[in-house]
Amino acid sequence: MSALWQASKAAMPKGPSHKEEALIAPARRPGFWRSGDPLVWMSAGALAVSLLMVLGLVLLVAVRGAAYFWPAPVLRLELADGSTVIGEQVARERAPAATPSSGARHRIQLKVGNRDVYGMDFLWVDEDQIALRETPREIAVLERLQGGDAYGIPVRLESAQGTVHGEGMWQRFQELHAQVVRLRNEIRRLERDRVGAINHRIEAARLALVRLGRSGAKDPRRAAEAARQEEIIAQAEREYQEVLQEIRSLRSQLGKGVLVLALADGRELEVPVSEIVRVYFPNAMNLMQKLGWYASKLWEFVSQEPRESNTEGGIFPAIFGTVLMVLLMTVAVVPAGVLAAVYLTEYAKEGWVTSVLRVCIRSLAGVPSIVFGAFGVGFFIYFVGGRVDRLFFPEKLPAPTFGTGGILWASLTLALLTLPVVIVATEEGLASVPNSVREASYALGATKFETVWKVAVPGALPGIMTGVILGIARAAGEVAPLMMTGVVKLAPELPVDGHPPFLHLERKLMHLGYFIYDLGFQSPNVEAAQPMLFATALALMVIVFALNFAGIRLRSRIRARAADRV
Amino acid sequence: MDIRTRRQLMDLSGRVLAALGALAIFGAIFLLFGFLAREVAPLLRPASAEQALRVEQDARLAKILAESVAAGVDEYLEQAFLLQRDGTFHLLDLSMGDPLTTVDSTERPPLWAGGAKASVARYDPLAGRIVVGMEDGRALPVDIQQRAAFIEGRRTVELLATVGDAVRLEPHGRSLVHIDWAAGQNREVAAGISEEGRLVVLIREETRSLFGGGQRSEHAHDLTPLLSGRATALALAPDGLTLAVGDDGGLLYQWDLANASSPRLIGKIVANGPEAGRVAEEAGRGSFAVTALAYLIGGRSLVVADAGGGVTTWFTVPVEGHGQLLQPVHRHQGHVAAVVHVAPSQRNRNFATADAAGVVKLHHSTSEQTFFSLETGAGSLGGLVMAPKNDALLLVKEGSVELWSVSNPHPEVSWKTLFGKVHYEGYPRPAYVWQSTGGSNAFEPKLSLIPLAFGTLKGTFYALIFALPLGVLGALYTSQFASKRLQQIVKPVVEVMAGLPSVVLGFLAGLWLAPLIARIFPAVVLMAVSIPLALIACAWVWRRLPGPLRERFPAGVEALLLMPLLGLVVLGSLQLGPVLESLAMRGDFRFWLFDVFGWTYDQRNSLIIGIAMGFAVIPVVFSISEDALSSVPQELVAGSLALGVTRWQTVTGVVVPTALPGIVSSVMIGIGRAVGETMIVLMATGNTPVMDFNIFNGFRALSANIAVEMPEAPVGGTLYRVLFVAALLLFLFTFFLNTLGELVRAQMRKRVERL
Repeated sequence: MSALWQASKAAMPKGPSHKEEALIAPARRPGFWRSGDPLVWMSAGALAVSLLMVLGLVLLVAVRGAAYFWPAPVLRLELADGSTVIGEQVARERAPAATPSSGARHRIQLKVGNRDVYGMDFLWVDEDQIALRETPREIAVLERLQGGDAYGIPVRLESAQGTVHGEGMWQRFQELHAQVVRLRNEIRRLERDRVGAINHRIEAARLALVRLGRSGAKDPRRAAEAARQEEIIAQAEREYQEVLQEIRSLRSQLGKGVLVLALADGRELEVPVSEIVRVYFPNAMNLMQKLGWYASKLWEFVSQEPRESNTEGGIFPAIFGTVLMVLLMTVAVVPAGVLAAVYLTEYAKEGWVTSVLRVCIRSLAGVPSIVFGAFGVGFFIYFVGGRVDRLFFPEKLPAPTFGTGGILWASLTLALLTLPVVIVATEEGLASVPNSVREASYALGATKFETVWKVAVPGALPGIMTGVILGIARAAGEVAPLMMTGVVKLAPELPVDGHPPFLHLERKLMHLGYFIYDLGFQSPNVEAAQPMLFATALALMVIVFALNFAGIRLRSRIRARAADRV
Repeated sequence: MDIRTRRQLMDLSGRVLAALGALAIFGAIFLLFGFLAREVAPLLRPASAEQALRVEQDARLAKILAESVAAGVDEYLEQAFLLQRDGTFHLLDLSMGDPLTTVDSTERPPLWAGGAKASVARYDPLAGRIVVGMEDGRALPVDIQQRAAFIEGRRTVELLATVGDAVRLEPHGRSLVHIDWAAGQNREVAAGISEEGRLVVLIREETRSLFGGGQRSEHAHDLTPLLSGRATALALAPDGLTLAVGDDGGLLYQWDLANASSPRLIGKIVANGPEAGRVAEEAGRGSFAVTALAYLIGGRSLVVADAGGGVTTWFTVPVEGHGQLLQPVHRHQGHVAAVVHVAPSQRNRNFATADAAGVVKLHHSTSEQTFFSLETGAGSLGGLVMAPKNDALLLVKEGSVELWSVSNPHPEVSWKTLFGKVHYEGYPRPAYVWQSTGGSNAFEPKLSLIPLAFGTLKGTFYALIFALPLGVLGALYTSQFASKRLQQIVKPVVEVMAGLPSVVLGFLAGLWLAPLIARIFPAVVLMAVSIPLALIACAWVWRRLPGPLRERFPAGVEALLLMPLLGLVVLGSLQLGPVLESLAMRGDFRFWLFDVFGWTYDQRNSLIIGIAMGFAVIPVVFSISEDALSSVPQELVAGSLALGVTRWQTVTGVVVPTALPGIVSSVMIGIGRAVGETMIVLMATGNTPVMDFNIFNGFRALSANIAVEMPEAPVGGTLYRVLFVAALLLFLFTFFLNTLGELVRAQMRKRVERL
């Protein structure tokens, strides 16, 4: 802002001040409406409302998302009708039927858990029905593999070694559970690694057989080869049976030990130890323990796979998918975008062609992402993918390989979407490299190529980085085109694994944004999924904001540098 | 290679590479547009037909053809059958290269014994049945199936025929000239017209009692006395509940057969001429004799063709004073000569008609298109059948059998069905409808883009109502009044806002905001009023504050001062909301809205969209407007202020007019953003394609529709291509809007530079 403006502002902070008015002409002081003051305040209000909304939204997501990992106290309520409920308070609001005259009657929403017993997760309790409210230290929360959390007071542990009450129960449980966790990990390792490897071998051999069959001809060498492949399959099948046997024997060791909980209504719930993920006593925790718990839950959230149709567990595959897809996109978009920007600023003569191109690029940035999605489906998946399948994977047809959504197509669609961002930022970066530098390069006898690629482009690197980062931020938050080009709610395998070619471009992937959409709008129990939703939304926002922030900081530095040079 | 050439080569290749990069951008834009257009193009391609095969042999074939009463063809177009008057079949192998050798001479045993001769037959490929009318007045249903069997890997088609129980339809043993048969739930119905013009119906009904015992009853009716003329054509609805009959006076009779013991004549309707559609009692009679009647797939639409060549499609529509009456809804391109055959499609609302001069036309009932008119040579046709996959027409002529292959992949789409009102079966009047999938094969997709475009515009409208004042005024304040410190806070916050993933906005709007507003709606209404009032009050109070107190605050931070105040106003509104609801809205705002305005309240409605999508649009509008407003040269502002004009007058008189193009372009680019937004509308509207201005109802937008339906749409199918039409529309609209916005901005930049 120019110095002149600053000066004028300083001279007139809020319209003509009293003193000045007196000096000029008191009669000319405009009326309340004509002075425009209400409108100034209105526009200030517009800004204030916008700011409040953004801050409110960010706070809402941050608080609700971060609260997900906190071990909230579990209440035990005795109600006026003599019944007892146990649960975590999740909301408090004015009771709907209340008339204003009856005073502020409120009700609270409890998460009562024990879905398999109660058939519901939540319960509304009117506050004036509560006779007694306490937080007993002995209430345990059991995270289970199925059926959501269980709330109750552990009364005994039944195992092969007999039933344990009281003191010894806890220690015994720890032992049993440690063993269960070990077995579960073992089983998962077997299922994922061994079985995965065997399946991979069988599939490879099966495809080889199809290829052999395709080329027809009863050539003895082919027949021998076919027999060899058959042998591989048979061998793999045998190994598979062995692994299966092993898993079965591990499973049989799992099913020992039952923890019995006393529920709020006096019923008993038997929870097999093998079903328990972990147990904690939120009311008995001190702050340090709670913080430790928080950290471990947070770690689980970012490092584990989701459970129970995505409503529990972690979001690691979604984070992984998002990051991998964005990386692939970057690989695709940077060369094209940088080349185009270099051409526009360094090579092309300014004229109508460059103006048209620039306008086109900016307009392309405004084309809705869903249009890119439709294009991705039609062009990448069906048009290109279908041809790739017929050329390179005929033995798998009619099952499509690249002729269906996959990480490659999703990344390319996003690359197209973010191309304008990268071009514009690179152009800006190149423009911030002063011409004197280029002239110096020419003066030293450098060719155009050398000047552009060894002087201008390195100078514009921050600009390119900005474009890439902003592009990544846009891509990471984008969902609409992805839901059509290869993102799924639950991918059985990561796109990267230990089997060649290690990076499987045809595989479907999970994505944070789609995870939110699916969990919020396709899952059967949306209310139970809400905490997870907020946590995932927070994770996505943190990633996108961090990227945006980095991009914006870089950009403002470049602009400052460019401004200094002018 | 010496270093100089290498460097020169590098230089050249660098130039080429960069040019390639730029070309790739152009290429990408063209590819995007070109590919969308490529996917849409087949919708516009006209249908075509050409003769694929002609079987024409000797006197023997001519004799067979003269004796045949029904013909059909299988779905692979490999085998045609001809049913003879004596009950034998002849098969034609259409897959052989040389048509001259294709008459299959191996005769099968006749379908019926005793040498009785068929006088007429009607082939209903949908039901897989031929009903044969005998010279002695009997009706005989024959189930027909052309099944593909694989023998040693080679596909061959077998013809399976099962003869049902014959019924004596014509009580006097006279020969039948027209016949139809329907097998509905628990009933079989036969209807025929005898050579002397007698209209006879036979209903065989099985009533099932509660205790499981079935009871069969048979009712024969002679409906001739109710006719005003001589019956010339008839058709039974596939459920056997409606009988349509045409007479030589151009009247159409609609009978309700639901009560088997007493058929009820619902109406006599003028079938053609100027009075078509009116009841005979009021309008007399029609111009031409009805010559052919046929029900289309689904059993609701009836094709009526007459001796004057007219072709119309009818279905029941509520008519004042007459209840549900058959009415001519779609008119099709007619023939010059009398229509003799109507052949319905087995897949959709297509049908072919043939006239006495041998001209064949293919129509689609709902879209009222006639795709082509084929001159098949002089002479009347003995039979006309549409192949099961709509890909061919089988023509039985006097001396030959012809197969015409038909290319007509998207018959249901025309400009009119995409963008106009269409009268669909079962609807009382023409309407804009989007309903792409249904439960049964007979379902007709209704692909009007208008409700979706309407939804998009509705969402955009409410988003702009919310976002424009906030965005433009906020930008105005930031650029003109805010202190530098405040500006430094505001800009990153707006960037944060711009970076919010729309899926997060959509999730919050759908799962948090929508239930919240449904609970505190009265407080929201209060806020809409109280916030502006509070702002004005604030200005008033500020003006009356003693000067020294006012000057204690730094200039240009009104917005920050306002934030706690606004917080208080919001809290106060929340407290007073229930009071307002109980006092002014009779305790429940939903009932009140419905009672007073007749509005229903959906939880996920356009208000929610306005706020959530407004959230996405505000940063766009804000940053472009702010850019334009702060690019106004400060000399202008200072000059104006120096003349003693107030700050606000300077803004409205100098700054805004100069920056107006920039503000306009921000609005255009903001509209572009709102139009294309997908996740928010997908998650926070009910996605019901209704057309309704009510702010408290949802809608379905073009973009959300693509996201929902694209994964389910079969590749290359009509729905798939129509979704590409939607994508193309979105592309063109936003691309042009953005281009326009950019041009306006560039223009403004130039103007400002000149100032």
